[in-house]
Amino acid sequence: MKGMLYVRGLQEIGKMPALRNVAASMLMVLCAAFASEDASALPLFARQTGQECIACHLSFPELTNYGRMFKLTGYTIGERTGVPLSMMGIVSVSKIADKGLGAGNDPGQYPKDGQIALESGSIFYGGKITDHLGLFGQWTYNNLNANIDPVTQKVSFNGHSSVDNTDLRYSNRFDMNGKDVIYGFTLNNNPTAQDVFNTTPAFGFPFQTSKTAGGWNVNQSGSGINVPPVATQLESMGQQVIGLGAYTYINRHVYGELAAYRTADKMFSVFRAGTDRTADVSVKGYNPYWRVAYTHDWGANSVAVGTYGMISRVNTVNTDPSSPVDRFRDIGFDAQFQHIGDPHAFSGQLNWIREKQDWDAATHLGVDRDNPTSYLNTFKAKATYYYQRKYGATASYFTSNTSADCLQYSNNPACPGGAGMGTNLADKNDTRGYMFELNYLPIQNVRIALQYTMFTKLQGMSSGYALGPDTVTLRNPKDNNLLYLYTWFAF
Amino acid sequence: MKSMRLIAGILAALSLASANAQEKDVKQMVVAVCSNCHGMDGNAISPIFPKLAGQNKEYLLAQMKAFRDQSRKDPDAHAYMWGISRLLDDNMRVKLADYFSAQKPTRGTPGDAQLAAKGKIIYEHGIESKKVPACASCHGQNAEGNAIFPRLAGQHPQYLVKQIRVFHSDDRPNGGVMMKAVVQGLSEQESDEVAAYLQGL
Repeated sequence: MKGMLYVRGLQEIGKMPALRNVAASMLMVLCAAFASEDASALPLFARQTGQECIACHLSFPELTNYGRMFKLTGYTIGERTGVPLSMMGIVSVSKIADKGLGAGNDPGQYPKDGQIALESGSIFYGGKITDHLGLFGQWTYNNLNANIDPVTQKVSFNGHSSVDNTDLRYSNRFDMNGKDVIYGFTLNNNPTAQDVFNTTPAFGFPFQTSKTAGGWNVNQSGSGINVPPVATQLESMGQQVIGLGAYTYINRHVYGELAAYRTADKMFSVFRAGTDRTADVSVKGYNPYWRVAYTHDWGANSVAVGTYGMISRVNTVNTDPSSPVDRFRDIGFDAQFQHIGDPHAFSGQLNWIREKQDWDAATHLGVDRDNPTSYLNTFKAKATYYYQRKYGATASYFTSNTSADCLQYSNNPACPGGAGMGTNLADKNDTRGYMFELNYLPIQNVRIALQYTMFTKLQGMSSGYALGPDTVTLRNPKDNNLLYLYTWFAF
Repeated sequence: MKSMRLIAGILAALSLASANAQEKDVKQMVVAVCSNCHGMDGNAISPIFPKLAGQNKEYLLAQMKAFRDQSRKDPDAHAYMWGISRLLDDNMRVKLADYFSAQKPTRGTPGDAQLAAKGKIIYEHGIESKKVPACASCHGQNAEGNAIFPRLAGQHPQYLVKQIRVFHSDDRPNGGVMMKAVVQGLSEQESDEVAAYLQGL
């Protein structure tokens, strides 16, 4: 079944006029990478440690046991590099299964469908500063910064650069009567960016998805509808907040961390440099984040089981820190298994987050919420196999479900107060699907991937739904299935 | 006379402090770097990384030198140890060799009994028809090793099998040249058998 999907996917790619251009650009990337395959062409941490990428990564950004230790010890293993910089870029092409051009629909809703896109480029900086202090810094140029026209709902893109995940660490490690103890402090701008397990949102899976073709959105030209999928508050505050945390990892078994996050304003503005201040979240005071995990290694295997969470108080008017607050409580449970052998490597991850949302009654009730409280659950599972760390395959499942709230999620006329713009949009925002990906790494710092995302439910709708005035041409979630070919390279 | 004693005392104290500092340095290196893969006491958990506890000092020194001058170039040496060896000067290499050779090796987990029984015969007697000499003649009756010949007892079988494959190539010159001739006649199956025997010692 999966094989059939890939065959179908490849056929679709083959039909694309842009295919030759994609192949040509990928070839150029490969040539550039091969031509400069020396120590200076490697990413920053590889130059610092003198080790290959596979020492720390199963495949970027998923960390191996050794990679987790590298991060926990503050990015300090190795020697300071002369030029503490490296770069990363992503080139891709996406194809949505069916644009569904009924009356009122418009190809402008899928603006980059079938076109090559230079998605983004990042500069990494930092690395080892002293024997105990290190920095992971990332500045990203997003070439596909989406802008939705408020009238036509058409999506257009422009280029925009801003600070990305940043994690400054101090760490120390000692032998306490035969017990290996690591402790440290982290100053970072994204809750979970400091986490070493690739289950939590900041560096969690899927590591890369298509942002070009609009497949994750429910949209329709002229209807006032262009809805991105819902996300938990925990994963929506990156590069808008700043947090200081203290952590310890005892005897390579027990990990614990406590942190507090505040708005990255005033002297901390550098941690949100380049972001859109009118859209940045504003949180009240210091918001607690916690993390506990148990890990165990045996043979080539390692397992981690943990829980984490955050309570955040978010201002209802993001430009007014004195405005009332909505309260979010996120609690996550996660687990990871890795077998890092040679030539076979395997990993599996699970992550579940339950978010309870308490809305400020005066602001929301009867305006954009029916209920004073609501919830959002997300669950993801992923399995990855690599042969010789060169050929990989990944399968994953994702689902999110919400409590019902007509005003929050739907324009369904059946809902009291519904605006009636849609015809049968649901009063929930459940999304569910599967994702498959094939990987090939010709050299350690280049990854070529073919990804296929299948939706069985999209923002509350599981079968034929209509948008706006066109009630004849029904769309199904599978019409948004996405084929995504990308190449990722770092040097 | 008093001043001489004082100077001698100060020198002795400085020498002791220096010895302590060096001991601290080597422990710090083990804790901060080596232990990530080889374990704090050299008993590595992952079979990608060899156990170093109780390994012969001469062998450890030779390998660390080969990583540093990049003459040992099997894929894992390149992926992991070339970079790390940049941190290890002559003095540190000696200290680390002293440290790991003095650690107590944990007993390995017995491998498949049938494989191990066949492996024991190969280890002790070699395979005459294939011109494979007895491993024990260099590595010792109990696989404890001897000077430049490494200790093999209790080693991860995956690591042993991988190194036998490496010896078929030219990626481990120096000591590996000798092993290239030795493993010439050894089949994959026979490698597995010897490794199954050694892991349980």
